[in-house]
Amino acid sequence: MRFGIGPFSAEAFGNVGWTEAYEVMGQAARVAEESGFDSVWVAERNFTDDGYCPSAFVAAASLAAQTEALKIGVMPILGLAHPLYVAEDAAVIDILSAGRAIIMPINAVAHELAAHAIPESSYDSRFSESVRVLLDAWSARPFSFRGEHWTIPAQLDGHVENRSGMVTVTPKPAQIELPLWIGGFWDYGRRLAAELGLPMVLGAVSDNSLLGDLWGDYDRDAQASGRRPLRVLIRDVYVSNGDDPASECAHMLSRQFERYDSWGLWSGDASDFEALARGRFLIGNPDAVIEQIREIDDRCGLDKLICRMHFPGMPLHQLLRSVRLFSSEVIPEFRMPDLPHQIRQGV
Amino acid sequence: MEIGIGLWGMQSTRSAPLPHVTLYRRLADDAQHAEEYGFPSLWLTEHRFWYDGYLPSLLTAGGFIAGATTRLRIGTGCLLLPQHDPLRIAHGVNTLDQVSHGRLDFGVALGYRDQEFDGLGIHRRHRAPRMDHALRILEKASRGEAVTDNGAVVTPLPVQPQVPIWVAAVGEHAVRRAARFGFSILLSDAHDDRRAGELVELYHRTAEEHGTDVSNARMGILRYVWVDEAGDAAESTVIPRLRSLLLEQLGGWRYLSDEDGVPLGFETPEKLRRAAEEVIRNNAAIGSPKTVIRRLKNLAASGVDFVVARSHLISQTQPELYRAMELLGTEVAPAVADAGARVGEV
Repeated sequence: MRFGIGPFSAEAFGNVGWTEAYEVMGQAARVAEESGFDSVWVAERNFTDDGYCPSAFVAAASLAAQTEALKIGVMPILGLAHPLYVAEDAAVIDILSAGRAIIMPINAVAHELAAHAIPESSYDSRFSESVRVLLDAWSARPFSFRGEHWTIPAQLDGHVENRSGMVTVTPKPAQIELPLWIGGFWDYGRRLAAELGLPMVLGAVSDNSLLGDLWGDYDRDAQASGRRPLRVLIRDVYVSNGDDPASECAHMLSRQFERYDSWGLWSGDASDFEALARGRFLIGNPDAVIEQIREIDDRCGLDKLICRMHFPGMPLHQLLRSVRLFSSEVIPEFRMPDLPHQIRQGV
Repeated sequence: MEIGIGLWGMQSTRSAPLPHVTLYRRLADDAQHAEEYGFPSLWLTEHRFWYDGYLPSLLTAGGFIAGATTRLRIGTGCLLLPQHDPLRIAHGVNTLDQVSHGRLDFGVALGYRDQEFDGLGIHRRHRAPRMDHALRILEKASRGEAVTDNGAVVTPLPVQPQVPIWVAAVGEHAVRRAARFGFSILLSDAHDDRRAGELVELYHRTAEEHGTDVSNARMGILRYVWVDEAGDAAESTVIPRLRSLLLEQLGGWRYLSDEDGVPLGFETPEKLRRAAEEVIRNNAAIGSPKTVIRRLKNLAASGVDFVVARSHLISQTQPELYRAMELLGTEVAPAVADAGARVGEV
């Protein structure tokens, strides 16, 4: 199993301002690189009260400069602006990270669509067209695209240069096939991923009891490909040797889910922490977290677990303590199969 | 007069087809060297859908430079603002200013290639109103004011109370518009010193007519600059390179204009060659430190107080570039630091 850290989102909260939140992201990425993680992720949301990172490519590019081996996972919102902007940013970040990028488009939420004056009813088709444009734009060949929302090139009257009817988006990604994983945070996204045979990532909001069905549906729709699809899961993770690890992070996680609720990504009572945690968080001392991961892995067969370990308001020292403990005690159990007992015990 | 270093467009050209991965690795090295040699800023340049993979995503590349450096300012010289979605750019600008701790110099230009607009479904003839609209949105986004009809506010805010905005100004119309808003300007390397002086004067006259406060505005210009201890070595190394750059890279884009502002491109090769030679002869500062200092002092006398020195000419090696940058940063820059005075302070 592989492990990622993130998605980071650099909100300001309490005494932590925005600039410091971006520094925390960089420090955590550097520590993660030396601790057995193999990817770092940055997500984006627009127009939030707390300044949730609105430009994942810009923040992720700075992480690419501060690391040398981590995969750089970028989670841009797709379908708001023209998809070629995302295609270009993605190619550039793949090159500047020397081929380390993974692009995981995510869906816009209601307030973002409203700000861009996009009717919710048109969003699924905007997302789907955008994904197709990304694939065309990253291919090594010139292309043209005619969809419901975008025509590329537009060939507008009065434009005289290049009447070939084709466009070549440059530069090309460093990787021959830039990994494109679809954020499976809503029904349509999961179906589209299956239809296109692209990896689908289940998010922190999907509780454990749903994972089997969601992946089952995906497999049924995607089975034409004949390949076992990648199983990638995002989970909120906190590890501590304290007496009651949950009490050290509960307020931060509840707050996070109140925000998901307000954005329409999840609905429920975020103040009932036990109910919230039972289904979806990986919290506890190392042994407890190992057991929780093992349970999901036995049932679903995970290829990659992306661990969100930083929550707005979490001090840097608390974050790094949790990251280091997870790295030293939990990751080896899954990343190093058949780890000899003596080595585990430090002999 | 201050000297920033430019321009990085990340091109893998026909004559120097390096892998893009190599070019971006060098960008990080180059930025660290620029910081070490004391340059205040490094400038990127944008185009899209071009055979050499010209950089289309300045803010993303800016995030990379921010992560590779600590003091160097990051200049976009220039981002083709009318080709973009203004809300998306406002988010990127504020984010980059946060990621870099307030090191963004945001330069914008209209863009001029049909093909770039057309690929994005934007009509080239809408570029001026789109520019004004986007600049208004950026201004609101930097102050936490609503940027949409339904009251959406861009967060985070930038670190700098006002991210400096530079407007590329090729013609008088653009100079006057920048002056009305109080933006800094970046004049073109197609302007000789005399023309630069006229445009700077026009800027200040216009600002005065409109009562705009331009006390923080900078009068910038692009110049091809190459320094070598031996003046003739500088010329023999760099002039052939510059000529090939002007002809291969810029000619095809109608970048160069004649005196009436009529673009010169591949379709008029004779005029193109003549224009390129004029740029080399009149608008470049190439030679020994002494020669370059003299040329930049002349420029300063015309009211220009900032030069984006184009020493990065794509085809040079890194050691050659660093030698030229070191001389420019450590010998030339201090010698011209006090040169010139802003119009109005004279």
